[in-house]
Amino acid sequence: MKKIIYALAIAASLALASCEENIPTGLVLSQPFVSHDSEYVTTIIPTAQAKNVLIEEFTGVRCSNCPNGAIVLKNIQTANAPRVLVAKAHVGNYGIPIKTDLDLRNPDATTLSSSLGMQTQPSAAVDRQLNTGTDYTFSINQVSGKVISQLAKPTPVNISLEKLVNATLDTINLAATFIFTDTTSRKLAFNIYLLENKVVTHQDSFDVVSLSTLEIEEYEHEEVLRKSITPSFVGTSFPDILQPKGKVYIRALQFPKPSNVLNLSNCTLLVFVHDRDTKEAIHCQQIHL
Amino acid sequence: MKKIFLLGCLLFTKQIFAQISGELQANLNFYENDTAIVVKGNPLYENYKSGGESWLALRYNGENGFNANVRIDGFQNSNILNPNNAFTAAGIGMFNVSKEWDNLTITAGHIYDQIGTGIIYRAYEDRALLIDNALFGLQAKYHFSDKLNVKAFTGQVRNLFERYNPVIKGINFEGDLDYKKAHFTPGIGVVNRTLDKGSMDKVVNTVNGLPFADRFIPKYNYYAATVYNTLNIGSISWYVEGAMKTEEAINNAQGLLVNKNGTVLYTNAGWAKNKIGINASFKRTENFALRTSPNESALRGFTNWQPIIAVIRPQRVIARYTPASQDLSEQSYAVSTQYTPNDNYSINGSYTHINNLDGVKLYREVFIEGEIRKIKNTIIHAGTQILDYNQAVYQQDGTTFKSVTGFAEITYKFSEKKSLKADLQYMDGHGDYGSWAYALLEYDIAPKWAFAVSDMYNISTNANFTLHKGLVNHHYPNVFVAYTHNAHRFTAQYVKQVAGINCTGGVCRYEPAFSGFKIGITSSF
Repeated sequence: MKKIIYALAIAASLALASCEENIPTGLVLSQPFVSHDSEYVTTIIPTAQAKNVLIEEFTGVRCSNCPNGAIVLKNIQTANAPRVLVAKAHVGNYGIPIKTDLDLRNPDATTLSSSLGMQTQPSAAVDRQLNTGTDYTFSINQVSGKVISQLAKPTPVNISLEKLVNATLDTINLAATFIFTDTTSRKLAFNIYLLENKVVTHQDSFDVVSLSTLEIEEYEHEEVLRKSITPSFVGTSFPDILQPKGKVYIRALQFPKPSNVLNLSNCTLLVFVHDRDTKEAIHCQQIHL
Repeated sequence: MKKIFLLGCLLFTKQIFAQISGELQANLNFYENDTAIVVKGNPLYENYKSGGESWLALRYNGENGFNANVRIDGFQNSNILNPNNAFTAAGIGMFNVSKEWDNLTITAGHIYDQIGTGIIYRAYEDRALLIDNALFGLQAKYHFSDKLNVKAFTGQVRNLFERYNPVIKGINFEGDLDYKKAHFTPGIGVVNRTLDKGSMDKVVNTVNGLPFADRFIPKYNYYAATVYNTLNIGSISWYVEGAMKTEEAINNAQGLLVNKNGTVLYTNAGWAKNKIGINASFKRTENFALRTSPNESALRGFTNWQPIIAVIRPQRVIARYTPASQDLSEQSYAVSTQYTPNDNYSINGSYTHINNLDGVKLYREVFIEGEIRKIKNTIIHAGTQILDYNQAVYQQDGTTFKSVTGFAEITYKFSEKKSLKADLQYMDGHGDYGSWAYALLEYDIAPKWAFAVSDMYNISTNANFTLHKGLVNHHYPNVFVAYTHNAHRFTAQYVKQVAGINCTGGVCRYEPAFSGFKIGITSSF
């Protein structure tokens, strides 16, 4: 009888192990994805979205003050959720991997740091507001006040995002729709960042109790800038300078999974519109993959 | 080579010829176009005029544990598949071969079997509804001991002379145990169905036609499992079965595909002692549609059978309103009691209560009947039924049908061989066709002859129904004669039959009115 029970247990295990099924071919579970660019003027003007604030933070795994800076930014996000979006660029010598860890730095992050005049780490640009000279970054302690003043501003553009991830081909489709709810004559461009969450590496951290630097073995990084899908910093310009009320731009992109991305399901696409002259980010949205 | 083959056939035939048995059933219909009851456009009545069907089954039982069955089915302008159109086809309807070795039995071919009451799997034949969902494949049974048997099977479900493409697999363990005065016969079974690519493509097409919010990922496989047991202890017999199935695409009550798992709980308990017997049943069904694929509907492609809580009544007018088992949503119970004070009298009363899971009333029946044998050579059987029947659910027509029916059946024996039976039924109905009266006289000369004449008539027609269907009061007569010689029975009847639901074992289908002659032959050899 024992043999029979063992045989049944093995058979049941095999049966359970074979329960996973692939999605049947031809199944369409969501609206067919927009696959081409389009632009037009609509007479149906949607309600203007509340303006979101973009924080581009500069950090690194050897930056011992950065974990505390990350906590400050997280608190700002939580207090103003969901209107504060953060992208974290790992740059410079503070970004050199510890031991055999992954290198979280990349050329797009480096371009961003030089373009925004980064002076130190941790620091952050808030909607790319100018600080002094060519420096668009602020110390972390200054971020909260900047965020509050930026949140009070309106935005003339609505951003809505749709995505389609092909797990088999490791490709990502993004359709970004920009609808101008108010007329503007600013020279505008849009940027797309691919951010990854739950990336685990070593991280130096300053311990305020012992007043010494510790090494955290498994630090989970959030919102790591992995790649700028549009040209880093400058983004992709809208073709017209005058954007009348009701102007709609639909931009469809397909791109492969960047080689430095570990897990697409942990990623987010962050899209923002900025002024090409002043650099100011005027609105942003994000979508999880 | 050809000669060797012919010799082999001859030897084989010679060896087995004496051990063959079998039976024949043949029906022949002559369609008489009665425009008052037969809907226009039916080619059986307007063009073909006659048709029929036959089944010839042969069985070989070998002494060496080898058994074989074959059945030849023929349909010539038959109305049995679709009463509104002719069906013509012929061929080998089923065949199988089996071999027993000690405790192992292997069967290949068309296999009829079930697990438990059939809630997760049943392959059976019901010719009246042309149900034959035999599994074409392989089955192995192993008798471990008197306390444990196991069977496993795999194959495809029969679809007339073809097969549905999805594959069915199953395994079933059954035990037989005693504990003190209690006797247990437990069982456990698991069934898996796997869709083929073609069936899945159809499902995907249907899902793609749904609103985006209602779309889902259909599964190739469902897994259904059941656990059951019969307990016998003293005067009590109690059967209980619980079954569940995994998520898959099924058609909901509106005919739309939904992704649901399902459950069934069924139990039946009986107690009998001295002159009293009590029986009670309960069933709860939720989304338990098991078919070869969700592309099939009505009587097509189902792979299970659910016990029916309501009692199927033989009375002609009552049988029109039999409730079919609901595989999506049903909660029902029935209680019946029988009292037999002596050999001369017996009385039976029952109550049946069926709702769907949303509490919508589907069926209520109060039924009382009694039998009197005290008068010499006479049997009197009489009763009454109070009925509440949700016709909109059971027949997708009308609303709720309510009725009170009385019936009386008197049989008088002139001698050991000759008897006369009179059957009177009256249904006071509200809804559907309205009220019915039915009368039958049957004269039997055992064992060879039987003669019967009957008529069914609308006493008062439901005005709304008449307006809707355009029917007027109508007679539905039946004249019947049967002759039996040894194992052969020949029947002939002139029939006018009202349209209605034809049910067998809780499985029902709508059949239009019939008008014409029927000739039947059943024979065993």
